[in-house]
Amino acid sequence: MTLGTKTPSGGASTRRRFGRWPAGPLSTKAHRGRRAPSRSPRGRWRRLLIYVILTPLAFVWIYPFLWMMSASVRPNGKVFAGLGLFPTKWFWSNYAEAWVDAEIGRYFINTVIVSFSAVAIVVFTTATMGYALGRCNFPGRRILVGLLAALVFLPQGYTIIPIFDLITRLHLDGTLFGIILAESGQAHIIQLLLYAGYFRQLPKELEESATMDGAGFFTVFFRIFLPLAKPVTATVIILQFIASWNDFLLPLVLTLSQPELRTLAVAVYSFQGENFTNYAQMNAASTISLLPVIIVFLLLQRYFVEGIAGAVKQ
Amino acid sequence: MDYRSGQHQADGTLPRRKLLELIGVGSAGLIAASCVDTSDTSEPGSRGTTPGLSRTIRIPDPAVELPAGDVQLRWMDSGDMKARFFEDFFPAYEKKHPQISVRYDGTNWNQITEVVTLGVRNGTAPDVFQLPSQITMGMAVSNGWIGAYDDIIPNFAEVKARYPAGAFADGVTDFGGKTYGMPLTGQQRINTLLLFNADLVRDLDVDLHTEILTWNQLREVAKAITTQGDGAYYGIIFGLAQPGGLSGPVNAMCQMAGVAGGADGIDLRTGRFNVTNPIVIEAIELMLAIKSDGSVHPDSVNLDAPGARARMPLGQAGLIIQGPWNIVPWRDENPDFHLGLNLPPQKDPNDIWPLSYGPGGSNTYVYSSKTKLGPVIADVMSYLSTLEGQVQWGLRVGAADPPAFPEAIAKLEIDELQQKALDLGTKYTVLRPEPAVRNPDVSKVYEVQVPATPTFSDTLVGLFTGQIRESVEQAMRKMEDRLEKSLEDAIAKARSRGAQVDRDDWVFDDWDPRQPYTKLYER
Amino acid sequence: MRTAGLLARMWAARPVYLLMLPGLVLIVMFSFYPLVMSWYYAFFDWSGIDQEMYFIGWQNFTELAADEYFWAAFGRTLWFAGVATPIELLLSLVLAIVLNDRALRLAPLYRTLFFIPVVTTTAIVSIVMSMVFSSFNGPANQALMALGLIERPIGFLTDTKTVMWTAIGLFVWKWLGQPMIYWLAALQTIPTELYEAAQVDGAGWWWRAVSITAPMLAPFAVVITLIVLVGNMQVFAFMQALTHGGPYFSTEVMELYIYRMAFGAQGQVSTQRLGYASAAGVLFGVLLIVLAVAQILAVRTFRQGSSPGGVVR
Repeated sequence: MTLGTKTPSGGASTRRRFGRWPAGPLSTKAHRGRRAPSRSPRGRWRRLLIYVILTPLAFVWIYPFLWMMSASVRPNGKVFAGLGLFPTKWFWSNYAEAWVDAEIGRYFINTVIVSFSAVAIVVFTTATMGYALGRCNFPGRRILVGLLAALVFLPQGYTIIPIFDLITRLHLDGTLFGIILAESGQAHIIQLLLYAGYFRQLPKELEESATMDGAGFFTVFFRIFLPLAKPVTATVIILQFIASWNDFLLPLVLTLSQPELRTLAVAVYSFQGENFTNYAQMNAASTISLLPVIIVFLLLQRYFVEGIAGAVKQ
Repeated sequence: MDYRSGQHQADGTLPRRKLLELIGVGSAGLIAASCVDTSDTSEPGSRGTTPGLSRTIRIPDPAVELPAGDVQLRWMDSGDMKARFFEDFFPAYEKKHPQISVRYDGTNWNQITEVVTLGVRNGTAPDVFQLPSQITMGMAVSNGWIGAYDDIIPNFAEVKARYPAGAFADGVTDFGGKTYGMPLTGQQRINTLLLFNADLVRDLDVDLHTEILTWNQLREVAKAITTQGDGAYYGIIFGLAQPGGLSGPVNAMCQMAGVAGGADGIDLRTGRFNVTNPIVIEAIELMLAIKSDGSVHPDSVNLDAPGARARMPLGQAGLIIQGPWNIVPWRDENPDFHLGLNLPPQKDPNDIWPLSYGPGGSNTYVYSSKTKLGPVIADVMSYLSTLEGQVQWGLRVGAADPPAFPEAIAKLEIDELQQKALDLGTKYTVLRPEPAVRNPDVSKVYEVQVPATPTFSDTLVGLFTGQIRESVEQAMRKMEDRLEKSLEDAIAKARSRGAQVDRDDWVFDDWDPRQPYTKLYER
Repeated sequence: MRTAGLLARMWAARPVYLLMLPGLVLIVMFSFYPLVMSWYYAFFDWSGIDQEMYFIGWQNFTELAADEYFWAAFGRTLWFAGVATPIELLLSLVLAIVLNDRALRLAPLYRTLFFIPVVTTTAIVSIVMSMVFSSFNGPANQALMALGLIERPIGFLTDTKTVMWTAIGLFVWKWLGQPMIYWLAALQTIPTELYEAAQVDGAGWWWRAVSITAPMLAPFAVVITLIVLVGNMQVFAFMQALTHGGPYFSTEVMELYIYRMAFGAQGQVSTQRLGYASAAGVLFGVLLIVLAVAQILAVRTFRQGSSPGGVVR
């Protein structure tokens, strides 16, 4: 179920498409070196123009977040009191109350556990399946690819009840492990596609020489191919982390009987009481839950772009 | 990241540095211009207490044998003002019985719907909960999800006898001679009071505190407030994004104008739907007129009930038609907000019909058949069904969810505004007949009924936003067709599955909507 | 002996199956099994909670075919995806090309700023946005009025004529960073030597974009388009939190319709109809597959007409 997110879903996987990623040199280093900046005056003016256009645009782009943070330190009565971002008196009490009322601390840890575990499992399953689909020939391959492609087209929100029953029958209801498994079991087509495309174009000599050295099928995969796929792995980690951190419906229904196992996205949603809405505290809770993922992205974004570029480039 | 480094390189320095300066100056200007004055607001105050009656909760010794080992009771309800009672009561209970801990979840109905509908599937539902509207009590009983109180409370007949007539009824709370639902509160409450911002209506010609508005006056008052606000606030606010946001007020206004059974309900004297009644059409047209006057808060369409509710103390609207549960939270969170309340606007203030309510009380609690804590539940429910328990409830929950016992209501000493809401509720509500009580098979119709979509509530929103372009009368005639079809289809389906029902089950010739219809519920 | 040959090949491929096993087990359990079950439910009159299930054959499907709300939701979903996809693709491509300029020293900063909405929680963002775009003193309206662009507040989320456009705009805003990153990645695969050679030949910026960038990006465009298109059909959390499908169904896309059928509208006395909702999901999926296959066939016919065997490598 990926109702709460968009990142991990999507992308069809036909055999032909796997082949579409253009082949190129293995190393990404060649492109990392900066091209000398163009020194022509025309280029300079063009860049100035770009800055003039991009700066206000970027400001508008993130204004909602700035507004959210600003509203989170205002009294509830002043949430809608104008465009300005800096209150003259700061109400940090909203954070204290949101932290206590919404029990953010505990949910933060739950979210970390779920996200990290789901990332680990998804990296493993998509790498193995991507390797098999992209590089190995086996009976049933075409059928499997067709079935996976079909998954992309089927809306899934209403299939929550069979998932719930399954988790119950496995006696995993009310455990974080249940959420992790269910999240990992979604069809992660983009991730699969990245791995398959990457493994597909690696030179044949890799297996041949290893097999001659006596390495078995699994050794070849785990010792040679998986380490080579680092750029893809980096990308998959980030994509899956964003997806898991933000996933909503699965953790919502799977933590129903155990509210203490909620994740942040669910907890902030539940924070909206039936009959009362405190906008300032709502914004404080939202800020608390959004900041970590923004920070993670800020720290990792360089690897992210290069990871995707590296993966796609192969 | 290199954008942070202040160093500049030889190439293209000047324009870029200038640019950075420009950006810097620009953002400084933005920052300077963007302050919000929040200095005149005080930190939220502490919650007030009510003097008078003893507020100490004394838990009596249990009449049943409680478990000896450590156990946890899980209790879930729709929270809000009820939480104010349980957050006092459960700690007292835990103190009396240290081996018992309670996990109390006062949450929203969406969450209850999800927890209960999924929880009953695998036995993880809380020990005590309220049933969401998607599950009728009959369905819960026939599926074996909930247990009977007769089985856990030893002297249950005695407990039951303390409640007023209509609190328990066959086909509503009782099935096969046993009681499955415990109505801790009564229904003598008006959910559609006219609540107003006293500061914004002070300069009007009419005193809203004392005078009950007519329908026409509602329109004029809303208009006057809007003019006075000049964009800073509006006359009236609704929460149209929530089912009932507009149909609730319309419904109540029609009932009090003599449309027995409510705007989209069935007149149980005749068994026919009311939607095409001229009074209903007039009420809807009144609301549309208020909207076309520009007197409605512009966000109303996209707000749900809590959203609309939250805007009132912010001074964004003069009027709202909602229930007494707002009084205390508004006062606590917004000391500067002055609230007034009165009956909803009347077509004829000299001839006011009462609002009717069905049997079974409200805040009806059920317990999971999978629970291992029957004795604990029995002990808690027994206390809550005493006069003492009901008074303690009333002291904390006030007019928001008035106690089930009339004598408990009579004993309460609460503040003026809540008292007024309570008194209006007692005066202007009566018990009505319920088809499912006379013929229990009627509840099988309810279980298979597919709601008429678009619902009455949807249709009013469609008219309000202009998406339904036809006249109100045409729209209501189509509404009646849908309601008829929905009910007739459900009756046919229930009959095909063995239920003995027909349309006459919805006819009570001897019903006088001004009098409580108690004879159906006398024991 | 074909069967024996197949078995032998399968036996020979057993390490491959073993390697795929963990991933396959998870996908079967949490993706295929629920889908198969929803096909099964589609033939029942079932609330989803009651123990009673009544087999009714194709009745759910015939009822759906006559349900104008189903078709309206279907149309809205296609319209939403059809409008949002090209806008999202084009804007992200322009941004990527601009930010791919290595001489632009602040590019990583802008890249980050434009990507931030992607990493944030949809349900939360929608709630914040409904405040920002409030008709009453919402910052968006205040800004537009301060700039003198409008005289009266726009009902971004309350006017039925604008609400779908607001939703599309916000959706594009939320997800634009993602295709931007994909385009950036694709752009970085273009060898810089090509540009340098073109520069030596005196080709200008635009000419380089048309003669080098465009053809080199073409193969990626197919995949990126597909990813974006599929994503634009999965808007449940976004729309649910932003509009609940309202006002008066005007933003009820397919997923919201299915949800309303499966679990009933919020706060309303209603019967849950999981069987009917499952049928709606199944029918929707089938319609999408039919559309997709028709499109692929059309493209193939077209390509084969212009250059024989063009699509098969």
